[in-house]
Amino acid sequence: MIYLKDIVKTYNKGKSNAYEALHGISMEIKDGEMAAVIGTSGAGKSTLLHILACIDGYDSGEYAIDGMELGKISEKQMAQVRNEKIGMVMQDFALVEGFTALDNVMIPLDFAGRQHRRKRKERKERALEMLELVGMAEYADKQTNNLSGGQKQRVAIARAIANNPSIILADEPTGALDSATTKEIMKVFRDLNEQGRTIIIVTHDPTVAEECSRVIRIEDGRIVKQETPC
Amino acid sequence: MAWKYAVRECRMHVVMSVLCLVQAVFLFAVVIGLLSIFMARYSGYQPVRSLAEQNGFITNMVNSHHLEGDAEGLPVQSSEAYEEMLKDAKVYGQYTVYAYAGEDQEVSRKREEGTFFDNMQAYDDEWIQGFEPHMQSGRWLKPGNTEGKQLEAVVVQSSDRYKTGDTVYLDNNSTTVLKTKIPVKIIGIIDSNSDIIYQSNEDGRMDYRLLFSNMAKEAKELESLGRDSTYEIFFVSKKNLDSVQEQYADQEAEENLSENFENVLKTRKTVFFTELNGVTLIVMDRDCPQEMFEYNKNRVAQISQFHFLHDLNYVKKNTWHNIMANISDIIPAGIGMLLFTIISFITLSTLMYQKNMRKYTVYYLCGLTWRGIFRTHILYISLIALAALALGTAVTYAAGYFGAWRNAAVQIGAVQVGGCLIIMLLLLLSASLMCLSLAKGKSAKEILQEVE
Repeated sequence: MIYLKDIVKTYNKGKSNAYEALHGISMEIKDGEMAAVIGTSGAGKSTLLHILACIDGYDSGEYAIDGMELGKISEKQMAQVRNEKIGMVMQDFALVEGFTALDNVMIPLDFAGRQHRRKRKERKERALEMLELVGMAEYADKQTNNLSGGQKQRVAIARAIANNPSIILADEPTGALDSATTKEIMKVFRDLNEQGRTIIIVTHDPTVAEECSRVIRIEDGRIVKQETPC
Repeated sequence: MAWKYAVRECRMHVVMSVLCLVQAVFLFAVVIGLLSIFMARYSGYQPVRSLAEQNGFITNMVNSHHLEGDAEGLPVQSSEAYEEMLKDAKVYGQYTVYAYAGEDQEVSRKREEGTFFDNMQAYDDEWIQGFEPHMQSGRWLKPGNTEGKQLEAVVVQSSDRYKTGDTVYLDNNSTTVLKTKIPVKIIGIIDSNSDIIYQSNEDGRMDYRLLFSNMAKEAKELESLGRDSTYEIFFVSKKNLDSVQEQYADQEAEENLSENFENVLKTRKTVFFTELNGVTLIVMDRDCPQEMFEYNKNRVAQISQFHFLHDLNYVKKNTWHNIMANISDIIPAGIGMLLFTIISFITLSTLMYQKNMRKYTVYYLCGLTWRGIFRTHILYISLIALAALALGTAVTYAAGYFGAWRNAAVQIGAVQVGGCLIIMLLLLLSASLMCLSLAKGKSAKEILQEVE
């Protein structure tokens, strides 16, 4: 379960151009939920997602995953959380150009802590398995810069789930895709959610939000509305 | 895992990696060159450094005489006798031994011809320990050698007359022929081009080279004077000489010399007359007062006639001055090249880090710490630097093997490799600091936003 209480985030703290992006966000997301975070540009939704992804810090409040308070752990433990508990999908795919699809999916498997790291052969097998799951097995040896947008996003999703994380965070995952490809990608997310994973998607797209079991609307750094569309 | 990703970096950025490699090879070549130039000059000083860096003075004695007592006016025959005339000083000397070493028949023939002259020099132990000349064969003298009934000698010669293992005999160079045969075992042949502590020709020099004479140069000078340049000089340990001649002194006294050198033989147990002569060190305690230093220096001036008398401190100062003067002209250019190459190497490395920032942020998202990312990048740079070091030394060595450095001082040794390793560490440290400064205080999100 994801637990947030009174999360405050201020950019440029102590400077003349300081501004508070999040004003005490509190929420709970239960295991297996598929939530969309929506809001206007600059509302603070990406900031929230980056805090959830442990790639940005917060100034006050509490953030816990499965009861583990993330404000109190070391950088190494934080990296372990990113590696094992969270899978991140970005709008621009965040793939390493020059790497093949397989190499990209192997990154989180390679960076797993020693206790959890699989053997080389097993890592490769697992990466291929993930590519197969998102329908990209035949492109495993292709350089990612030769793939289409939809294919890239599938590879990014395969990478996000490689270490079997319980949470998938997606920042505008369909923002760079056409509507047909958007549908395909959303199907992949739905399938992953049906497998029991918690999915949180930041989006502008109402059609994407409609596919989620819960919609969280943020305005000016505050949660203004939470609803269940279905 | 860092290795896998560091090697992958090399493969992914072939052009940049090669550029870095070429720069590093050039850098190491400059370092090897500069250090070689220094070492070529320093290597002459290194063997005698412990001798030249003591407190005292160096002199090239012509002769020395007792100033008082029963022996007043007589030549000083040993360093111990010399020390008795000074205050708390040690004298490390070399000696002319009035003896001729040669093959059995030769001694009498020379005596008949009137071409008989002494050809033996003896050293105190400190000289023997302090400097070992380059040997053509065999070994150098042993200090503190007081065993056996035969004298051990090393030979410097202008022909191939003697070989290691040969035995020759000693005779007195007076008119009286020795009755006993004193064997001299040749234990080594000194390289004819070797520097050797001998009768130094000053040549206006005031540095460590005062201690040496180059034997090939000595021979040339003899030639230029129109003299036969063939020579053999036997070098022995003074202790060994004293020990051996003591064993023969009584026998020789009974058989022959008692009439001629009665007093000498009975009191000193010597057969041959020795005289302190040539390069001599007079050494005092580091803390000795200036008055004592001056007293001893004045005393030496009274006891001995000499070609020169210099403070060792002055010699040491000049030594460093002369070594540095030879390379001071090229130091600015060398440092300039070093700085230029280091800066461009670091710039390239930083550019690559910046170029890789997006990739590294992906690594961060996937569970690597910034420390891990930094380690991967530095490992990548280290791989290039190590490859450059190996390539640079291999190329320099190969060029030397094929004779490219015949007229240059370039060489590969521990100092050169050590210098390159230090420069490599400096490179890595600078590259690390630059890379750290790029990521310092920024979150992964900010870096992602910057590189987007």
